[in-house]
Amino acid sequence: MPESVTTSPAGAGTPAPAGAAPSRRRARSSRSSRQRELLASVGLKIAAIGAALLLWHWFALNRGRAAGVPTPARLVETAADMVATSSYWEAVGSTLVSAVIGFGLSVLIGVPLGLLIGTFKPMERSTTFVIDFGRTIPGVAILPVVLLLYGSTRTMVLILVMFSALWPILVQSMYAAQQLSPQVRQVAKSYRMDFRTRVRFIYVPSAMPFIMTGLRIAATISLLITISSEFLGGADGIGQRLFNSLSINDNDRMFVWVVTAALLGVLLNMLLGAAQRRVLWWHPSQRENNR
Amino acid sequence: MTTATANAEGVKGASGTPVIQAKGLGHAYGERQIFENLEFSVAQGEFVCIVGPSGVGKTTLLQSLTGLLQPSNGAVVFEGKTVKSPPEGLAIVFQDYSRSLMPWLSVLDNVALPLRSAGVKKAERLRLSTEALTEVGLKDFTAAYPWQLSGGMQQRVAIARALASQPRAIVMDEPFASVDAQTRSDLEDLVLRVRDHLGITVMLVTHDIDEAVYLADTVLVLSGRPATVTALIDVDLPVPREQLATKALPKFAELRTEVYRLIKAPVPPAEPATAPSA
Repeated sequence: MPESVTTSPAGAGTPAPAGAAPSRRRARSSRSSRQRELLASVGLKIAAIGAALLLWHWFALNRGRAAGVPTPARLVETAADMVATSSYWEAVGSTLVSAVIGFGLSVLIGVPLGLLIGTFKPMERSTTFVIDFGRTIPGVAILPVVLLLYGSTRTMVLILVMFSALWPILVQSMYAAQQLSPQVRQVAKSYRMDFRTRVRFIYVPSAMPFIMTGLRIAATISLLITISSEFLGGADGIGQRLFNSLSINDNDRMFVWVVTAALLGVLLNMLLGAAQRRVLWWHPSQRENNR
Repeated sequence: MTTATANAEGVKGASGTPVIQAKGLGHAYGERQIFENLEFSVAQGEFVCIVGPSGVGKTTLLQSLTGLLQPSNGAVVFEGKTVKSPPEGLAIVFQDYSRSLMPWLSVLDNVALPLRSAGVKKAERLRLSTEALTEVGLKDFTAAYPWQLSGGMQQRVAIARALASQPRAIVMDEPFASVDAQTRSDLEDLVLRVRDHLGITVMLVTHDIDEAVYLADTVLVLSGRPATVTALIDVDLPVPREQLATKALPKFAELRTEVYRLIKAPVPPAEPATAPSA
């Protein structure tokens, strides 16, 4: 007799191994426990914000007093006055427009160029030095030159934004082009898939995780550089108002601008996070949201 | 008694028309010759298992058989035509199911993707894909995503994707190497059932001797360095095969011993009984 077979299925026709029910993308298994989780996380967030406000208040009344740091209450008071003026919204609008255009142009140039460079090895080898060199230069370092050429204009701001935001998009897109696993490549080849199908259903989705990372980094940089170049170069926007308040020692207003800039950053991050979840819902990093 | 022959004509099957033929097939990576001078043919509807020790070049052989790799020497002929790139009518199931399925596509869309590329209309795509998924017992999972399924189920999706294009031959590269033993037996039986049902030719690469003997009509033993076809063994076990009954047959034990011996020692020893007595 041959040795007995240790692993023997009951029969040939047995159905699929159980487990892994097809929990669909939007399906929620237990609603109430999810709600509890959500409530707890919101509670913790509020507690953290409260703690930060308390610390700020304490600082403003002690050491911060000499530097003219307003208390949170005072800040809210000043802000309430300011947001009622159109001048406030003009500044916010101007900054947003610059940041968005600068970011958009960086994407339009960076993504195709990065994918192209990443796809062709010789191109990557020849551009590595230029890219590593370029992305190490801080954007503000070229500010004097750009300011000299274009003055305190939006063009000046856009050039500085692109000079900084382009690199992460370019580099991430280069990586993105190389993310296609040899396995997937073989699948596409073995099933004789045409170029259009490959691009739409294989190349683009598999490149998206890295591209999205590049976009998130670049968006934050765009806003930061827009405000810095307004501050240093005098183009209209939040940064310039901040500088003006600072130069006339109007600390209350100055801090409202600071907080405005911070809030814009938070808003931007939330938007991009939502975009990322929409585009990459299938990616392991996003999956816990669909359970 | 089965006979071990390295004969090129060692094919079985009533029809006898060769679907896949290897003619003097050889491949080398640089200086390293992986295999050389392989001669065999696979008949219409035949189930051939290629078995050999790991590192013998099974995957390389499979890649040249399917046209994913240009062999250095010789040629592969599929249905009378020399294979230069993956031919129509031949589908491949890869070992690593988790990376061969697209996580951003649902089970149904994964299966239908090759059809879309082939220009099949939407309604027909849906019909063929659903049929293929029914064939592998997954018709209730069309809307799920691969990563929501167990390993065995993912591999069944990959098999369905291969079946959807209604291939005449299917080539599988260690398809059950990364699933647990229970799932493995289930999948083996599934492949046998699908083969009987659809009458397609199957070539399956494996390093598992039991699996090879259990599944195959013919076991092709690959060994040596560079590898050659050491033997083509007719597996005349009764059909349909059954995990318990088939594996309990003395004939099964005989065959697996023979294959084992061939893999261990490319030239079968004259008096094998003397070896273990020491």
